[in-house]
Amino acid sequence: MSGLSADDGNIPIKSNFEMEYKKMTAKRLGFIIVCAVASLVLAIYAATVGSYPISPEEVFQSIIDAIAGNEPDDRGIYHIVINLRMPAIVTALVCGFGLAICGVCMQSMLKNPLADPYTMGISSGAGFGAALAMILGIEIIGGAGIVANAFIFSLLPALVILFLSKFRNATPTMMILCGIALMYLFNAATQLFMLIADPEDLSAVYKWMIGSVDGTSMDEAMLILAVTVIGSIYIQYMSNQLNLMGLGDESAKTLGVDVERKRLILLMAVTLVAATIVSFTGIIGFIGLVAPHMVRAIIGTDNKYLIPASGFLGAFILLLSHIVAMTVAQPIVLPVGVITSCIGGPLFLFLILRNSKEVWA
Amino acid sequence: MTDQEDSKSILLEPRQNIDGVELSVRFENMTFGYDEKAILENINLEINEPGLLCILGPNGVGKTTLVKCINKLLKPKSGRVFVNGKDVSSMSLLEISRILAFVPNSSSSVFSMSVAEAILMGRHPRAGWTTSQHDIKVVDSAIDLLGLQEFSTRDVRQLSAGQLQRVLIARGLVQEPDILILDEPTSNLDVKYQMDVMRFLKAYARDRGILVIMVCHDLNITADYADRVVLMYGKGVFADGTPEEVLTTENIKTVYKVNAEVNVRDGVPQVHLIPEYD
Repeated sequence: MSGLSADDGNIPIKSNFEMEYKKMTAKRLGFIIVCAVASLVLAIYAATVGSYPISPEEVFQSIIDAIAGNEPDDRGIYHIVINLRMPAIVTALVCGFGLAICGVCMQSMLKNPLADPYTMGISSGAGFGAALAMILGIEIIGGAGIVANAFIFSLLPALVILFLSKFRNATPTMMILCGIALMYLFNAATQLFMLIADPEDLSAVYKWMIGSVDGTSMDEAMLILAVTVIGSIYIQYMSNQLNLMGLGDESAKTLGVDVERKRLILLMAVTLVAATIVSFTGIIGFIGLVAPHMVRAIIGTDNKYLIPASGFLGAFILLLSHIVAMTVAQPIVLPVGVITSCIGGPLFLFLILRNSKEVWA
Repeated sequence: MTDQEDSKSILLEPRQNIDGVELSVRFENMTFGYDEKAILENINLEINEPGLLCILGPNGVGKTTLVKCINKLLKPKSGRVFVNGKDVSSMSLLEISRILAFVPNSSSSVFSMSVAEAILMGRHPRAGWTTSQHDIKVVDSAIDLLGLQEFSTRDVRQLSAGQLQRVLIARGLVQEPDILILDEPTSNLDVKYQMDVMRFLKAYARDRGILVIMVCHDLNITADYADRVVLMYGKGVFADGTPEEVLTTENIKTVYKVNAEVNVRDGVPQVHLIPEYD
């Protein structure tokens, strides 16, 4: 029994996907390693940047002392590196990683290149919760204030979608439309609060909505890290299923994926990670959108590699934005969300122009 | 044996009936419809002979609906569907996909992906989390079989409809199914590839000893290659049998409302449709 002949009718050479796959895998792993190392190097550099100059060697020494629990030679430098600069650096790395991974997951599972961690109305829910605490002083969990409010309200859109999925299939269109409807609802309520807010509260709400990595403590950064690691492991585990979801629901089902159920579970995972991040940092835009598309342009769309690569690139971009935010208008430190939007917008336009045919339809 | 023959043999080896399971698809009083309107009513049909079965019928009669009830893409209103003796309603999608591959008429992808990567996705039901050497070899074998070598690295979104159809067939083959279902797999192919694909599918069903079920529109292609034909009309099966038994002048007139002349040569009916002019 013979197969089909090639289009030109000539006897074709034998397919050699094995060689091609090996080359692709080496390139993809190489890119992941480069992004991870670059993020770590940038983290050391970031700790040297600030009003008090510190050398990379001193940063290294402080980190080693902190890990080993040694008594530092210079308590001043140790304090600046570990207690003042590191929380923001770790927060930037972890949040960049988490937002980018959530972006990849949302884009693949919704088959939509414009989806990001905030597509389901997570950010507007969080904004509403934060405004409720800042302007009206209403706290869902007393003492936890803004963070708890933002977290709980950012979960609401996902819970509404979960509830609606009992009556209708959780298709990408249904999910996106639900997210948009809830986004309008939350935004309208937040704007209403802002109309009646006094100028001080208004300024605080506005600043929160731009997003910043400065205000978090190391304990808070560790909490974000824990949630991000758990969410990332699950999303990475689901990478094959995410690849199949990108083919469309029908194809994914015929290849054995229970699409509706898996999509809801993934939505919960993304929501938990994004809600945790947004409740501590405010709304940092563009990382979840730009990092995955940049990576797709370089190493392709296989989620097995795309997920970790986007995570490390997202971490790098957010940390770079943090450094720019600290240095561009010294001594004023800008909210990092301003920088990510300033970098992200033009970068996204560039990607659209350069890769519109190759990367997405 | 050359390297090429060695590679091809992976997908063309006869099906191993390790568990002693007899291949079969069986519809038992199955009714399917949307809201109150029934599209298929009380379907009773058994397919258990390895070979190529073609499902024919006019547009909207429920051919694709029928095959989508086999792999749970659609759920019947009443009645049951069995695959290899098991009720599909009690099987998971993954369990079904290990027995049955479905080749859609077309597919779209938002993100770029090479032809080889698109075919590799078909290994999901059988592969683990990581891609093994065997998975890659199976993909190479499918690329060779479907004549896709020259564009195996090309983005699937840049293919013609006919090339994409061959990629989708290759994706179905790498599932190494017991039952292969195809929805109009030749609709976008030129005549040469239509004949090539039909010849290949017939030989594939025979050599591997599996069921190949396809929805088709072309009466002559069906007559030339099918081992069995199911003609659908009026919410059910109108005729079922060999091409010679099913493709008769009367059946074509009743089902398609067109006049046809049918000549049988060496047991193969040749259908000549008689055009009507205003």
